[in-house]
Amino acid sequence: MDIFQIPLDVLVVDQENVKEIQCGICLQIVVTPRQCKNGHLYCFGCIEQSLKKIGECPQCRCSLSLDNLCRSLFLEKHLRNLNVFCKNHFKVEESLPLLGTLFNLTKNILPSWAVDLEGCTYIGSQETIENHQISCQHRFENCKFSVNNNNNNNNNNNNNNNNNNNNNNNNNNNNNNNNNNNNNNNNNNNNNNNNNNNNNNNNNNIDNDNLIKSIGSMMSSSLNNSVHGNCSGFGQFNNGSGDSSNSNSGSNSPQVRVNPKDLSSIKSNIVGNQNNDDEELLLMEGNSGEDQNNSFSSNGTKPIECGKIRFKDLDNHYLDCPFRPISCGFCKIEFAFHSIKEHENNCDFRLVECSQCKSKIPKKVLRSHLGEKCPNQIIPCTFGYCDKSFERKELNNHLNETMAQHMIMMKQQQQDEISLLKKEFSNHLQLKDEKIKGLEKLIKDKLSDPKIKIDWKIKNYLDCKRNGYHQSEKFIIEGFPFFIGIFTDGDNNESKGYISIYLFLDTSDIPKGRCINTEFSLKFNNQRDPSQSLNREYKATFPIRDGSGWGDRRSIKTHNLESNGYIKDNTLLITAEVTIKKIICCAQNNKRYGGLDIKFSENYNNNNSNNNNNNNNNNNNNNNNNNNNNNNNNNNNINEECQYPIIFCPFSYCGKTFERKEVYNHLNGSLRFHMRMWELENRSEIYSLKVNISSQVKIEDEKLKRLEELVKKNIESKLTFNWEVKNYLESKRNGYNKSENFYIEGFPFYFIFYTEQDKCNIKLKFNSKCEEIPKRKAIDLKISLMLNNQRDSSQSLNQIHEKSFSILSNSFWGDGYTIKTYDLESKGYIKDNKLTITAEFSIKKIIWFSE
Amino acid sequence: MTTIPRNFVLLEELESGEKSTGDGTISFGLENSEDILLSSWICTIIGPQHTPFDNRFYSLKLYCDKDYPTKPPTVRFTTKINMGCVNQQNGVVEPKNLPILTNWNSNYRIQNILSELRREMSSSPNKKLVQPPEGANF
Amino acid sequence: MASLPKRIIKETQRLITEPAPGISATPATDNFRYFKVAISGPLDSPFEGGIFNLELFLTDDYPMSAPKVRFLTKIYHPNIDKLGRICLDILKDKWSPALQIRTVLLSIQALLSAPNPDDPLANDVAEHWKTNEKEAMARAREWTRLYAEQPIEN
Repeated sequence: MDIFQIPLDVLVVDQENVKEIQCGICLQIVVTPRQCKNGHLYCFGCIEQSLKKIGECPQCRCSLSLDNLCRSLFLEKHLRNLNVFCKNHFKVEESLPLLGTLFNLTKNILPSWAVDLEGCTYIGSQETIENHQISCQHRFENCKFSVNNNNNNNNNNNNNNNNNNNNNNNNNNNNNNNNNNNNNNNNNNNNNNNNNNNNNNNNNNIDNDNLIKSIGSMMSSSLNNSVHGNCSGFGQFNNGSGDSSNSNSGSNSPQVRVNPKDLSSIKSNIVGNQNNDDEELLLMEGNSGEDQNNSFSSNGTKPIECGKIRFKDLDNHYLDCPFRPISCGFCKIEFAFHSIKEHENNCDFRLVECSQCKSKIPKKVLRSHLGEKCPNQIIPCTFGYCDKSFERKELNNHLNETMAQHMIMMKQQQQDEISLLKKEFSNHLQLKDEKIKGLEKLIKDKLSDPKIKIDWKIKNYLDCKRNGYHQSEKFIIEGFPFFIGIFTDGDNNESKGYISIYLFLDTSDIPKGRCINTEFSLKFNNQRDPSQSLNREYKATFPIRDGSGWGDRRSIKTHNLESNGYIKDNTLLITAEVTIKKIICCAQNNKRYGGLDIKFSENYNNNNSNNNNNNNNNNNNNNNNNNNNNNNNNNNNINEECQYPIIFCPFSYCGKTFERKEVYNHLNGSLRFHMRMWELENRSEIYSLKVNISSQVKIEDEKLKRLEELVKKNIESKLTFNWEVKNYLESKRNGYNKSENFYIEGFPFYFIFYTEQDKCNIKLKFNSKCEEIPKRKAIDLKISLMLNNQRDSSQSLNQIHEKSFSILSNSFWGDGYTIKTYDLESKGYIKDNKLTITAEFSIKKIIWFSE
Repeated sequence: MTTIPRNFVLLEELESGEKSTGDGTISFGLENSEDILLSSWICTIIGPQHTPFDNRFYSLKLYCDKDYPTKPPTVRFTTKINMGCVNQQNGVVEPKNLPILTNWNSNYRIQNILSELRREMSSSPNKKLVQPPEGANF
Repeated sequence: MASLPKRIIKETQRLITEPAPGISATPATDNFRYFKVAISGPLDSPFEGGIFNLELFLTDDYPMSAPKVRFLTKIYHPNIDKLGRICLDILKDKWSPALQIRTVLLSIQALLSAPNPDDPLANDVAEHWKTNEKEAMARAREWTRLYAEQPIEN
């Protein structure tokens, strides 16, 4: 049954005679009328049901069955022609307004219908009324704005952060309500949450003012409101049943409302329950309030709709519908009327007054206006070194006026920064240098200088004499290529008749910036009497100042050489021994290799010397501080009064002098010139810095590289050889066991383990039979030999020895006694018929021989 | 479905209890015949055969407050009984230990609770429990 | 709940807007089929001056079945038992769908005026009524004063 449909007995015009045509069971005007023999009227459906229970007329109890039910043609015709009002003649009222406020919306509802003075007055027969109702001017239509309300809210109210979610929630929660279009749930965003419940009770008011009024009155007298205000629950009937009521005009007074007098009469009738009812009333109001709270609890505001509007009133309604779209005066986006104020208050495009410059700015850009544009905003000078602040519009003036000052500031800052960086860098370099030196020293201390012996045999002396000059093949010491040169008749006029002999460094392909400090000897071997051999010793640093060779210009008279037994079979033997004492990175002193003779390097040197002193005095910090103080003093000199009134122009390329107070006048007088000077100064300074730094870095790199080589060669080349004698018994039977060959720097070695009756020993042998022996090398080794005790490693036997091996020298190491055979066999050295030997070698020296 | 008000539910129950439907193993009635609020009920369960409860008479008191049948009544044995769902101190049936009370539904009636309790007596955990001597009360 | 039959709506409206004298019936807020009823004791009866509370419930079957009615106020009456149940033919086999809440309540009111000890529900009261009507009516008056002149507490 559609509870929103107005019952026929309400619509009927002739209310006087309605009772005559009511069904005795459902108490409505009969549908398909039937009667008993006594004329008691029933709807066919009603009596059919009753007859199933008992075969008598419910009113007169005469016996009755489906068979003897009577039709009434007259009544049927009468019903068809029954005059009824158009349904738009009525509006829904609540016959129990007192209770109505209490009724739960979702549960039972008691509607009633009242004549609406503004309603339709058309009367027609039951048969024809429907045709009228379709086109009735008083029919209800949805307000087009309100219907779109949901969308509007979603689309337009995005700015109203508070409402977004709420709208969604509300739409869900209130689906029932919305579908029935009952509550004028004016979603008045301005209303606080507190008012929501009240709004809910007050469905007929659209106008905000009225709404607020009624809320107020509600608060002041809940009883009155209960009576006069339609509760939300009953409001639901309004639209479905075609009640008008939605307009807020005062003329639209409810008609079939129970007034308070009626109410009191009801109450007086319920004498016994009066107290209870009052209690209950309050209680229930509380409950209903709670219910509403629950249903809206998650929502800050609730949506209120216009609901249905009479067709004829629609145009008027649209003029002041709270949901009618209004363009925002600032952003031009359309918003529902009721939310426009709040929107405009928050609109990003609303013009606000800039607090600084008083101009009108869209709110959205206010911040960027202050940050970037406002001429009155106080900003710091855009020139980073200047600490002045002023209004933005003054910026250009400031910059123009203080150009000279800014230049000086910048120059000072630059100088400070540069000298700071220099200091940092040179400190850094020095630290590194010290480290490197320490390492070098460490390595030097551990290793004696490599001494290279070269035997140079000049096979055809006569041929050599004919040319006047002969030179040896190159030999390379520590990566430096050397050769020996001999001039048989001197190398200039002074030395005619003498043999000139030199050790040359081939500078064509050595790393630049490196010098080597050498000690060397040159010997002419006397082949008749070796004791008469001529040996001279020299010290020289290559490359030397005016050339790359060092030796004797007049070493021996040519004829002495030729006649005193030095030459035999047209052969001359010269022996050179060369020791490299030091490899020097010499960029500091040597202009040829870098041309880095510039201020910074001097500073660096100075610093070095300072720091050396400091190191000695442990005054490092103090000195630095002094330096800083000096710098500061220099800076301050420019700004502060000082006892010398005449100063140099701070741009050193300018070179002018003037009184201190003239400095800005001087600069302003020739700004361009000074800028240019400054640029040049900067450029050369930066260039020299670059060069200096790169050369320093290069030097460090060289040092590091050499160190690395040294370390690699001398310290890291520690080798380990593990030898497992797998079958001790077999080796005992044989008397010895031999390891495989292993190589140290190309030298082939092997171990031999000898087992005798009472003792065992281990020997390290240089495998002279091996074909791969390097011909020109000898090697000094430190050997650590470990005979492992496999039961208790602390009992392992360890021998350490140093020994030199070469193809020429004695080529084995071992002392003939390592361990007693008994001890070896019984004290845990042998396990599972196995015996292990671990040898560690570190290379002390590799010696080169010339051919 | 129409909700039947509490009092008319209980009146119906009283009538069905007075008619003593079923097999006679359970019975229930108002504790006080003038109890116009129909709150306090007195019930009897005869223990099922082949259980330690066999043929013993168990008396219970049942209290339906104003929220019945939306909420279950409180149930208390007056005859001493050893059962998983019965508090051994005071004989109260612990709702959390009796599924019909835990998962109460407003369509359940007193009769359902009693049947359920009797069924519970036949459950294997309760079958193993030693029972106090006959006639002892909480 | 789906809906309330129009007949019940109509009856409820009439009960409230045009209450029968001495009778009020108000539906419960959470159940429109459940009514709180108050009947004032008829004049010239032992129940005069009392307000008797009843509860009334319209089953799903109403109006094809009779409403269920019960006194909540204790009353000394041969046709009303200790639990307030009423022995009245129209509430049982004599129900007719043409009857209404109003007529039922009027019948109950009439029953108070005219107890019928020959069709008793409370046997002891009926016996009392038959054997010593005067004393029984005095008891009824006393109960009325005791129980019906104050709102009962429920």
